[in-house]
Amino acid sequence: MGIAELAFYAFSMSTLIGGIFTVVARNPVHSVLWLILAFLSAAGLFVLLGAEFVAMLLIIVYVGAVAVLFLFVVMMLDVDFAELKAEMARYLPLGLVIGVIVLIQLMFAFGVWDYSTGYEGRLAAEFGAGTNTGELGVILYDDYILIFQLAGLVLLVAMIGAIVLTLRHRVDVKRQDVVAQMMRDPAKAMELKDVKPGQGL
Amino acid sequence: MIGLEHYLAVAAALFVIGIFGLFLNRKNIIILLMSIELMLLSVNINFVAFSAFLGDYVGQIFTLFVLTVAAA
Repeated sequence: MGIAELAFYAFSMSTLIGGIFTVVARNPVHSVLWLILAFLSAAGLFVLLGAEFVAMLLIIVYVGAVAVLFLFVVMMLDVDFAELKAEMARYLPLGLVIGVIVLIQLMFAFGVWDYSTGYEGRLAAEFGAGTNTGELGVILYDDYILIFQLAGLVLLVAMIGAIVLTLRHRVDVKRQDVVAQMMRDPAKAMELKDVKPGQGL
Repeated sequence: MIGLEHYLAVAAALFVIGIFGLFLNRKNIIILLMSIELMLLSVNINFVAFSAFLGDYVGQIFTLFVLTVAAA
């Protein structure tokens, strides 16, 4: 068994173990950490496949941003672990049954799956010269520029939506009104009263 | 020699784990989201495996967009 096979089995085992413990872990914080393990191992699988850019993207975007965001949310939320455990025990049989059914279906589909005729030529096709990232960039900016821009738009809409959802105007907080400050008239700001002795206002 | 089938099997197992997680953690929306992320990861493994074995970069491009939408 060569080093590549060994690496494949190690990475796939740790991906699956990370996935399993993500869904069965009692503590959501542990769950997020197992998810990070699954993503890192999947990035290793991608490197084995020769997709270095996607692997690094997975590490940077997922482990660096999304998983850490999950970690923040989980730590901020106050979760009742005892209730969650009871809930988990209730749905365990149903989840197991459906999981096994889907697994059997996938195995059926896998059993009848075969290469189409004349696959050898396509399967042996090699990538063009150049690095993985460079080739991806050329294809992305030449053929898929519109979809690329739309993906950016999706991210923009998500960002604006998050801001709109969390923005609220609080009435009990005094805010600075710049226009009112600039338009104020010094002559009207103060009034002088000439108070006669012994009379008062 | 690690073939395409090995990667597909790993991805299928990961997908089933994701579905299992959806049913197991119905009350906890954070772990629901994490299960969905696992399923998206398995789909990405499928895309990248086919892309690598067919010598076609478009699968990796699509993986890129799946990552984008999942992050959004």
